[in-house]
Amino acid sequence: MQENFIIYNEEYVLIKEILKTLKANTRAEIVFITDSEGHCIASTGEMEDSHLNSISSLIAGSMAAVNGIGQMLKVEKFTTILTESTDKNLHISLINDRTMLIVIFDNSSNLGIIRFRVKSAIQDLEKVFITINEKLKVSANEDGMSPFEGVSDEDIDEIFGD
Amino acid sequence: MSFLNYSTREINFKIVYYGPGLSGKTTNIKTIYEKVKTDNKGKLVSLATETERTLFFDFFPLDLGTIKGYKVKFHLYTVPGQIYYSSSRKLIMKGVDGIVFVADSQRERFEANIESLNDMMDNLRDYSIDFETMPYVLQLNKRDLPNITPVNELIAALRKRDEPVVEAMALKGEGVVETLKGISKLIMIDVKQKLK
Repeated sequence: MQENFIIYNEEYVLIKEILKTLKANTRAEIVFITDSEGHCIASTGEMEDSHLNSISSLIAGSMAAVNGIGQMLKVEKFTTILTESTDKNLHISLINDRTMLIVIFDNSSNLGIIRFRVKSAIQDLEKVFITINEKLKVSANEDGMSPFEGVSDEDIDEIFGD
Repeated sequence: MSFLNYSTREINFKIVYYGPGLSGKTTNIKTIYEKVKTDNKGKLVSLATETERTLFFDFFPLDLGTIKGYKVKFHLYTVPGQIYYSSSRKLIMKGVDGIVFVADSQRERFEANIESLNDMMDNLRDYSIDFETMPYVLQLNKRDLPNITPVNELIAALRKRDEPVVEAMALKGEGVVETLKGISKLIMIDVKQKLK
């Protein structure tokens, strides 16, 4: 069973920086990371959060479905999905077992550049996620305080307007 | 499992609505979607067949507001209920934080409920998820229809532990929000304990 996925401030800043660089270098519209459960972890580019959440869930589902096919074809793992249209294109690559990098780009960009830059970004992101995993093993939270420390049942009732 | 971002102060949870085909899982989600204010919800995604049967999943992100400075977001999913979509159901269960089992109260669906519940247990076992500690709500749907199994019989057959049981008429919107509140509270209590 997978543990809760926690991102700390220091690594979040690093991830955002890698995404910004990738976006600038590829002239992509949006670059973001989602986990295999469909949570959008970080993004750069213009899109409403709610849309990103929905797209993340669909991408996680697509990747899971493709790898379900892979299992039947005895392929260890499909690491990249490319979806092209006359307008916008989607490049999805696995970073590790739990996260994937998505680049949405139009025809002003170039697939060769996307592939090259994504490969380089994934190497950088892998290092950041290794650090996150190491931190997770040491402590469940950054400052020893759970975000829900001190939250009462009444606080929980309150957000439901009870 | 849940995703917590200390930098953006956000915590995300995944709720899955499980149950046999046509038990009302999608109706639950659609009803919630209609009741929630526009600012608090994202787009409703429905991957359905031409006859509106769920093909892969339904999904929408729900923003529940802020608690102790953290934005709390729930991602609501349904699974396809039909027996032959077993692989899809398993994929959707990955990383689940809480489950609502939507049972169909009609007599003729009694066995289908049990079959679906067993399927859910198999999927949880495959992911090494301990059902005993999983936030879980049992919803008895379609209580407004004729020819339904009495509540006590359904509870005797379907209730697996001490989970809350909610009677619902999802098409009329009754019991739907109560179910969501029930599972959301259980998830938050669970994560509060886990992150201690």
